[in-house]
Amino acid sequence: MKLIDANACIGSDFVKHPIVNHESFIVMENVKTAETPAELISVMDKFEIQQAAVWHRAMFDYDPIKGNEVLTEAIRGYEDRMLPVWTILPAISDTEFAPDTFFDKMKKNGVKMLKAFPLQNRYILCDVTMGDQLKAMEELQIPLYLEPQPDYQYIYDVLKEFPNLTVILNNIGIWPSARLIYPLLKRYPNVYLETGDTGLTHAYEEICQKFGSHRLLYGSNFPSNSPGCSLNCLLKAKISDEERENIAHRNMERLLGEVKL
Amino acid sequence: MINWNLDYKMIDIHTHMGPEYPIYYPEHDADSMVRYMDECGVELIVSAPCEDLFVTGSVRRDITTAMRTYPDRIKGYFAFNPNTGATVQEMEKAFAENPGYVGLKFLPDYHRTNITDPSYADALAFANERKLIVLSHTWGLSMNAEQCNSAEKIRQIVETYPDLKFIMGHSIQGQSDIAIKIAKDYENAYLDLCDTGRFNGIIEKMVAAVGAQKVLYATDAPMQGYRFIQGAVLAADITDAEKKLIFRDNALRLLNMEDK
Ligand SMILES: [Zn+2]
Repeated sequence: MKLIDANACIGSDFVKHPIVNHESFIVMENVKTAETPAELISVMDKFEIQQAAVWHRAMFDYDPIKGNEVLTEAIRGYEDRMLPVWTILPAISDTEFAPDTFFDKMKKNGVKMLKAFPLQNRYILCDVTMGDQLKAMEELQIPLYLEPQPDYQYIYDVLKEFPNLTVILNNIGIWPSARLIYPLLKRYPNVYLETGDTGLTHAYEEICQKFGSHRLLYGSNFPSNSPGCSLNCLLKAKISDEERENIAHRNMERLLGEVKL
Repeated sequence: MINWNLDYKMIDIHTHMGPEYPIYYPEHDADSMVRYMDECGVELIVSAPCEDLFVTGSVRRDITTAMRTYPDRIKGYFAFNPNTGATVQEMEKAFAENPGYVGLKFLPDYHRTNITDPSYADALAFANERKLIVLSHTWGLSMNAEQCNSAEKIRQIVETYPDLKFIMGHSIQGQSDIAIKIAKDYENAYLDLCDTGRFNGIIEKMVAAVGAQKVLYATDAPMQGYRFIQGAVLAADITDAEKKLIFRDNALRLLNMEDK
């Protein structure tokens, strides 16, 4: 079975690695990171993962603009295995992200997906702050990775304003509550769950049955997690082979195919 | 190539039972848990039901019924809440009436009481005298920014009570490097993979530093499935013999069931 990891990170940790624990707060731990793309490739090969959506630690720990550059530089030559994910900031302050130039830059660099860390970068992800950017992302169908930090409220809010935004929920902690995730999956057909933290009893079976297998993207959440965790769950879930293939790679391929850059 | 299948059954020494407030997980009763154990290849669990941990005046019905209904599949921890307490006589009676009890369960962080507080002393002495297992929740920094079960306190407990078998639930998450040190320094201290086992590279680190005989498969089921942490162990760069110790043999040894 072909595997595309929807969520892997390269770069070592500035101090320790922040991990969302089972009570949804951050613990700082030493984990084995992949400093270079070559190191990540060796992890991917071990798990027979063909491609991975990759972001760089520097995008979070240091600075989104510099971090995006670090990622682009780092993965040059690995384009067949690594799908770069950049981080976005509000263009009202950081003009590099203005829609008239930024999306062209993404295209030139082969970037089709974005992350936003509004808590870390201290802004509010909303129409007031960056409406033209979010509108353009809706129209271009650019997937946006969002983490529920400090909680889900901002994700609910931004989807209320931009209901057609393609959102990939990720890094949710290993007690992910259906009470917070299911409403989003039900209301917004363009919301997806990356499975890196998903291991609850029959979670794959229930989500496939309630919302369809096209709403899950296999991910490792490496290096917070060993890729073995969610992969073991996916391989053994009582779902059809068709559903398993969707989660393993087809959904991600479809999402990338829909990006209008 | 990773071998995702085992030719033996696993034992999970850190589980619960019944509902708990933070999340939705419908298959939480004993019957559902045993069904899911069958599906995932788990032979035996040791459980501390949520009713005993979070409700005052619990009559421990879930665990005593489960242990009677499934004596070969479910063993129990007598959950000890220092706020409501339990006398030594009560614990003696419970253990005498329910042979499935194998130890005590503490949740210092959730009960907002330091594990070194005198309110735990009688329970610890009871466990020490009988060489019981004590499974305690352990975290470096607690939910309330307290340190009810952090490393220096755990070190104090395992040193003071050398005859009980202390399982560091979650391996002092946030201070796992110190947990590894404690497991190395004290014969009676064990590492527990619940949640913490998923951290990339940590299983290899634990096994290299302390040896696989001090590392225990643990999940928090039914709040978590059995396969997530199983996947981390299966994929870890350790030997098959070390994996078997973690998944099964260490638990059998702790439970005095080595003949199984
Ligand atoms: Zn627990």
